[in-house]
Amino acid sequence: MSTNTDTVADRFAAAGAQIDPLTALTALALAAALGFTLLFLQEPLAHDALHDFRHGAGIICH
Amino acid sequence: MIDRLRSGVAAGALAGLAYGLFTWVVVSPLIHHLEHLASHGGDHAHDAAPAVSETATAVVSAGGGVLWGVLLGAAFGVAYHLFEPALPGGTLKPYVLAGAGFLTVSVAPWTVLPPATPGMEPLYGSSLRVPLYLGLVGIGGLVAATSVLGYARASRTRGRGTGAFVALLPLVALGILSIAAPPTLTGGAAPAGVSAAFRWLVGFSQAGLWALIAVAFSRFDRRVGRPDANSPTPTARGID
Repeated sequence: MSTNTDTVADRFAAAGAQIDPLTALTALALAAALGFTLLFLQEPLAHDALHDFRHGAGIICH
Repeated sequence: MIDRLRSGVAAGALAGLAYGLFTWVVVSPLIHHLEHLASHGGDHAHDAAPAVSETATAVVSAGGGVLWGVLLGAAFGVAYHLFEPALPGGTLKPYVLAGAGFLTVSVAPWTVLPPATPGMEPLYGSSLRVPLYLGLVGIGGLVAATSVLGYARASRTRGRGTGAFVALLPLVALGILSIAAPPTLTGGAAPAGVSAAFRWLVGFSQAGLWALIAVAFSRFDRRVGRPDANSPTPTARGID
C-alpha cells in the first residue's frame, strides 16, 4: 500500500526507535494491572455476568 | 504506529458496538432460550446458582462484546503496522490480516475446543482447557503466518494458482487436527441441529466482527493518510 520498500524487520526496528522503553513499560504495566484487577473481579460476579458473551464468542469456558 | 493503533482502536470500538448490540439482541435471548430448553432435560450446572440476574448478564455481556472489539481492534492496528510489508493483497491487506486474526483467535482453538452450545458440559476442567486454548491460539498464529507467507512467496515465483495451493496446505492440516481431536464436550440436551446452528451463529458472528474491524480500519487508515506513515519525522502532527 504505502511504501513497499521497507520490510517487517524495518517496522520492528522503527517501532523500537520511536517508542521509548519507559513508555512501553508503563503501557505494559497499566495493561497488566487492569488485567489483574479484572481477574479479581472475575470471581464470581463478573464471570457469571459475562456468561452470554463467552457462549456467543465461543471462548473456552462454559 | 500510534496512528495505526488509534485507527485500530476506533475500528474495534465501532465493530465492537455492532457486536455488542448483536449479543444484546440475538445471542443473549437465544442462549437463555436454549438453556431453559436444556434445563427441562434435567441437571444443568447453571440452574444451581446464577449469581447474577439474566438482565445483568445480558447487559454485561453486551458490554463485554464492545470491549472484545476494542481489544481485537487494538491488536489489529499494531499487528497491521508491524506486518503490513509482508502482507499480500494491495488494498485488501486489512482483510488478509483480519482473516489471519480470525483464524488465530477463534478458528484454531475451535478445532479442539468447539463453542459450547448451552446445555453442553465441558469434559475437562478449566485448568486444562485454558492452557490448551492459549496453545491453540499460538498454533493458529503459526498456521496463519505460514499460510500467508507461503502464498506470498509461491505466488511471486510460480504464479497465483500455486500460491493459493500452498496457502491451503496449513489450513488443511488444521482441518485434520479438528477431525483427529478427541471430543471435549459432553451432554447436549439440545438436538444436534440446534447445536450446529448455534455454532454457525458463533462462527459467523466472530467472522463478521473481524470483517467489520477490517472495513472500518481501512477507512480510518485511508483517512489518516499515509504521507508521513514512515517518514523520518513521525512527530509531524505533534502527537506520538
